Amino acid sequence: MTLRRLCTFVVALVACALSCLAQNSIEAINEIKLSGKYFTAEATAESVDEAKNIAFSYLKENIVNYCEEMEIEEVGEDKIMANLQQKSVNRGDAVMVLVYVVKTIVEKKETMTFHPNTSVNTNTNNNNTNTAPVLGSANWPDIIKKVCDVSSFVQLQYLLDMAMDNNLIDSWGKYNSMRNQTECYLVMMNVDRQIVAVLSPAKNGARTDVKTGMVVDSEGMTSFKNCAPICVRVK
Amino acid sequence: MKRYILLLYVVLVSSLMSAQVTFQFSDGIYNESLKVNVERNVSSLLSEINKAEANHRQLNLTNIDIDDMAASGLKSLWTNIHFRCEWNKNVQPCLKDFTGYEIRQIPVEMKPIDNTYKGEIHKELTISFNKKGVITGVRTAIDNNSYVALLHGSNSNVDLRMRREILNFVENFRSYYVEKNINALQEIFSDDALIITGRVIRTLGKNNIDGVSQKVNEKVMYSKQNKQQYINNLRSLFKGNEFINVDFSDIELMRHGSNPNIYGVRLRQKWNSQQYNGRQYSDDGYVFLLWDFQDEGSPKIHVRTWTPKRANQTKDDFSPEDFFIPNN
Repeated sequence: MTLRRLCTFVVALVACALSCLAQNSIEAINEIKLSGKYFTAEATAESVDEAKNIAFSYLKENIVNYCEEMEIEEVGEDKIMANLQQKSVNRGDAVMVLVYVVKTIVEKKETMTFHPNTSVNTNTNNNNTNTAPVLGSANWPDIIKKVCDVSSFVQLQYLLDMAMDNNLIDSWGKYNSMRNQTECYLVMMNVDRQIVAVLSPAKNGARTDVKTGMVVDSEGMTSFKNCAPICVRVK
Repeated sequence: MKRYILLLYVVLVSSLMSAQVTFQFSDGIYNESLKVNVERNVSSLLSEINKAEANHRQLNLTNIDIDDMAASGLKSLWTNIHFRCEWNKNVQPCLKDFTGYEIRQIPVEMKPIDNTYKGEIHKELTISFNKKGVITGVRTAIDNNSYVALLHGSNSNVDLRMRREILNFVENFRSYYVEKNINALQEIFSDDALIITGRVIRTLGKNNIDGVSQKVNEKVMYSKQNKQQYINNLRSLFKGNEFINVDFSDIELMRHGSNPNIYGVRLRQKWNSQQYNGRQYSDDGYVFLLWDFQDEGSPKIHVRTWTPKRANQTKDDFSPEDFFIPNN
C-alpha cells in the first residue's frame, strides 16, 4: 500500500514538474513577444524542425516586408539565420516553435537628413517643432482627405491601389522611386509603419501639413527623422 | 475530513484559475483605447470559452462585445464541437486589413462532444474585430502549413496583402458550412453563380473475381445548380445534419490573366457530416472557386466546382481563364 502511494506521489510530481516546465516556456515566449525587441514568428507542426522551417519562412518574409516598407537595406538570410534564436513548447503530439531575432539586425540609415527638395532621410518620430500655423484652410483633393483618415501603411496601400485603379491619382511610390518629388504629396510613415503626417507638394521650399495646416519648412522636415516618405502624385 | 475539504478547495481554485484566460497584443495596434478594449473583450471571450467547456454548457456571450453574426456563428460551432484555450496567457500581434483587424494563432484544443470528430485536436483560433473593437468573427483557422504555404507561395502572382485577404475569405467560407450559416453563404455567392456539386454514392456489389464476396462500388453523381437551387439544397442539408465538418488544405491562388480583380482558389476539401438519424457521409475532393474581388470588402463567388479526389490525381484542373467573366 505504501509503495502504491509512493508511486502515485512520484507520478503526480513528474506531471506537476512537466506542467511547470511547459508553463515556464509559455511565459518565456510571451515575454519575448511583449518585449518589443524582436522580430518573431511561430508555427506548430509535428516536429521541431518542421515547425522551425515554417516559422523561419514566416519570419524572413516579415523582415523583408519591414525593410521594404521602411526603405532599410534588406537583411540576408545568412544574417537572420546567424542571429536566430528559438523557443519551443509541446502541444499534444505537435510542437510549437517561436523563432526570433533582435530588431537591431536591420540597419537604419541614421545620417541622412530629409529635405523637401533633395533626398530621403530615415530618422525618428514626428514632433513638428519648427512649424508655423497657416491662415485659412486649403481645399485638398478628396483622395488626400481619405489618406488623412488612414493610420497604417497597409490601409494606405489599399487606398492608393484603389485610387490608381479608379484613375484618382497619377502615381504613388517610395520617395526614391518617384520623379519630381516636390510635386507630390508626402505621406510620412514612422518606424512602426504608422502614418504620422500628410504633407502637401512643396511651394517655395516648404510644404503644408494637410492635417494641421502648419507650414513645414526644410528645418521642420528634420522632425520627420526615421520616417519613410511615400509620394502621391495627384492628377 | 479537513484534508478532503482542503483538497476540494485546491481543486476548485485551480480549476477557476485555469478558466481565466488573458489576451495581450504584442504589436500592430497603436490606438491605446482600442487596444485596451479589445484585449479586455478578447480575454473575456476566451475565459468564457474555457468556463463553458469546463462545465459542459452553452456559451454565454452577453457580456462580450460581439456582433450578432459572429455570436450566432460561434454558437453554431459550439453545438457541434467544444474547444478550450491551451494557454492561460496569450500574446499575439494585431494584423490589419482595410475592413478591420485580426488576431491569429491562439492555441486551442478541440474537445469533441462524441467520437464522431475526425479533425485535428490542436488547432488555432482566429478572431476578427472592427474599428470599434467589436468582435466580428471567431473561427478555427485552417492548418498552419496551408496558411504559411499560401502566404509565402513563391509561384503565386498575387501580392501578400491580397493573399492574406483571400485567405480570410477562404477561412470564413469554410466556417459558414461548419456553422451552418446559410445567410452568409447566400451573401457570398453572386446571383448568377454556376455551382457544380458532387456526391459520392457507395453501394455494395459482388466481387467480379469470385462472384461471391462483396466490394464497395463508388459512383459520383454530379449536379449543376444555380445559386437559389444550391442555397435551397444547403438549407435542407443543414436542417437534416447534426454536424458538418469541412477541412480545407492544399490551397492555391491564381490571378486571372486579363482581369486583375478575378482570382481562382483551388483547394482540397474533406467533407464529413452526420445526419440526426446517425447516418454519416464523407467525401474528399477538389473545389475550385472563381472569386470576384472588384468590391474588395464583399467579394462574390461566380463559380464553384467540385471533383472527387482520385488515385494519382493531385488537383482539379480549372484555372480562372477557363471561365468567361462578364465585364461589369
